[in-house]
Amino acid sequence: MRFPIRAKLLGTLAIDLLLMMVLGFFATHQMATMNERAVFIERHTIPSLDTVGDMTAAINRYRARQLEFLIYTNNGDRSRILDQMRAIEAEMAGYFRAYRPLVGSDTERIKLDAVEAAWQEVVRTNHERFVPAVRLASDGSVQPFYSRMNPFYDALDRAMAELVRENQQQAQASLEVVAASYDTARTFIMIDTVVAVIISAAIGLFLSARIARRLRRLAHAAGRVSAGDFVGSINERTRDEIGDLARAFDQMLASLRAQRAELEERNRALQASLIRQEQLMEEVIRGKQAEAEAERARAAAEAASQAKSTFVATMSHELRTPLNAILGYAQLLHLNKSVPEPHAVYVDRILASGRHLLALISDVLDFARIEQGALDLEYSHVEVPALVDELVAMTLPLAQRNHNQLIAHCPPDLGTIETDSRRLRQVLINLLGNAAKFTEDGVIRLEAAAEQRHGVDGVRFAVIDTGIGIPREKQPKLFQPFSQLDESVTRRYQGTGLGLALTKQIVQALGGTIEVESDAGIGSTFTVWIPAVPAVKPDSSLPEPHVVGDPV
Amino acid sequence: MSFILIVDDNFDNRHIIGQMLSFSGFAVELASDAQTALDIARQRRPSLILMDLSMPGLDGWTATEYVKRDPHLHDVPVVAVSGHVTRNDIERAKRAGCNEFLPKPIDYEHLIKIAQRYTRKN
Repeated sequence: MRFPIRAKLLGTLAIDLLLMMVLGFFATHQMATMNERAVFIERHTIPSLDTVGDMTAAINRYRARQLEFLIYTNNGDRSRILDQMRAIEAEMAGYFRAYRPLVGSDTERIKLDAVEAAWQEVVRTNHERFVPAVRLASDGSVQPFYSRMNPFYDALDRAMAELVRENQQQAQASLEVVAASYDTARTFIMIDTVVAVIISAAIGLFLSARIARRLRRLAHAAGRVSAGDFVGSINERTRDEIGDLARAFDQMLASLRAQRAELEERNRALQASLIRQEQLMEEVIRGKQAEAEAERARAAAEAASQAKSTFVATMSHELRTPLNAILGYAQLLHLNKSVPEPHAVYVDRILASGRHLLALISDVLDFARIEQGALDLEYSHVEVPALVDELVAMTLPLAQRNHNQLIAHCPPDLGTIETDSRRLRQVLINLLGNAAKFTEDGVIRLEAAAEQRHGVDGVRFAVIDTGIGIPREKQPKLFQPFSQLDESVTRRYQGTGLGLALTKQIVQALGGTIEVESDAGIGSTFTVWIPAVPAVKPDSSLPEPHVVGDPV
Repeated sequence: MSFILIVDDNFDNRHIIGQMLSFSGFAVELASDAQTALDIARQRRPSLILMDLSMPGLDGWTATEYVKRDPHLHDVPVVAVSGHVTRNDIERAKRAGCNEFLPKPIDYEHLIKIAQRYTRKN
C-alpha cells in the first residue's frame, strides 16, 4: 500500500459512501417503480372501475326504462321514456369517451371495444326491434318482447365482466410489481448494508490490525533502543505516516548507532588517556616519593655530614687547646737557655712531637672535610713561575737538611692558571717535603710545563727525587690513607700517613690527576696535572669552614 | 710606658703569650676576660691588644667593636688570637675591627714579628 493512512481511511469511507449512493439510487428507482404502479392504479384502474360501475348503473337504468316502456302504454309516457333512453345512451357515450384515455393495454381496449359493441347491439336492438314491437302490440302481452332483449344484455354483461376482470388483472399486476419492487429494494438494502458493513469492517480491521502490528514493531524497537540495543532497524517500506515514522526511527537509530560508536571511540580514547594519566600520576607520585625519599636521605646525610663536620671541627679545636699549651710551654723552655743539656733535647722532642701531632690533626681535619665533600676551594689566578720560585724558597731548607740539591725548572712564560693556590701549594709542598724526607745526598727536581690532557689546557708539575724509591708492589696502595711503607719507615721519616692520600684528594678536588713512577733505590717521580681553568667552579657563596692556619 | 694587653680566658695561653713577649722585651698586661681588659685599656692606653675571640661573658668580637668605637682607643691595633681558624672566623674578626689574625697554637717567631710590627708603628 502506497497511500497515507488518511487516504486509506477516506478510501474506506468512500467505499461506504459509494455503496450508500448505489443504495440510494436503487431505492429511488424502486420507489419510482412503485409510485408509477400506484399512480397507474390511481389514474387508470380506479377511474376505469368507477366508469365501469357508472356504466353498469346506466345499463340497469336503461333496462328499467325498457320495462317502463312496456308498462306505460300512452304515447306521452312512452316518448318521455324514449327521451330518457336517449339520455342514457348519451351518458353511456360519455362514459366510453371518458374511458378511452384510461385504457392501459391493447387487451383492455379490445375488451372495451367489445363492451361498446355489445352496448351498441343492445341500443340497436332496442330501437329497431323492441320499441317498434312494443308499439305495435298495444295489448298486454309484452312479456316476450322484454325477454328477447336478454341475450343482448347477457353479452353486454359478459363483456363488462371481461373488462372488469381485465382491470382487476391490471391492478393485480401493478400490486405484484410494487410488492416485487419492495422485496427487491428490501433485499438490496439489506445486502448493500451488510456488504458495506463487511467491507468497512474488513478494511477497518485489516488497517487497524496492520497499523497496530506496525506500531507494535515500532514500540518494540523503541523499547529495545531504550534498553540500549541499537542494533537492527525496522525496515518499513510502506509510504505512509507510520512508514515515515519508522524511517525516521531507523534514521534516529542509525544516528544513535553512529553517535554511540563515536562515544565509544571517544570513551576508549578517554579511557586510554585516563589510564595514561593515571600512569603518569603514579609515575609522578612515585617520582615525588622517590624525590622525597632522596630528599630525606639527602637531608639525613647532610645532617650526618654536618654533625660529623661539627664534630671534627670541635674535636680539632678541643685537641688543639691542650696542644697549644704543650707547644707554648715547650717553646718557652726552648727559649730559656738555662735549661740543662739533656732536658733541652727533651724539650725539642716535645716540640717536634707536638708539631707532628698538630700536623696530624690538621690532616685529619682536611681529610674528613674532603671525605664529606666539604673541602672549600678558593680559586684565583696563580702565576706558575712565581709559584715555583716560592716553593723552592720554602722547601730549600727542608731539602738541604738531608744534603740534597733542589733544582727547579719552569718556562718563564708559562703564565697563570686559575686554581686554589693555597691547596696547590699544599700539594706540592707535601710532595717536595716527602722527596726531601726520603732522599739523602741526592737531587730533588721541581719541573713545571704546559700540557694538554684530553683537549684541556693545564700545567704538569713533576717532583723528581733520587731517594729510596717505592717498590712496585707498594705503589698501588700509595695513595690510600695510612699506607706508609712500613712501621720502620714511619718511625724513621715521621709522616702523618695521610699525606699522599690527602694530596691525591686535593688534586682531584682541583680537577687534576696525580701519578707516581718509582723504582726502589733509584728514586721517585710524582706527576701532578692541574687544569688551567676549573671544570666547574664551586659555589663560593657557601660559607664553608676553611683552614688557614700555617703549620707550626 | 707602652705595653701589650693580652686578653685570654685560658690561663696557659695567657701566660705563654705573656712569657714569650716578656722574653723578647715587651711589657705586657694580662686580662682573663674582655671586660677587665676594656677597663685596663681605658685607664692606661695599650700599644697593642692581643684578643682571644671565643670567651665566656663579653666575647672578643664585641670587645674589639667597643675598642674600635671608643674615641680614645679606636686607633689601638687589635690582633685576634684564636684556635678557630676557618675563613668565617677570620672574616668575622676582620668585620669586628681586628687588624690582624694570629692562629693558635702560637708560634713564637710569628708572634714576635707581629708584636714588633704594631708596637713600632705606635
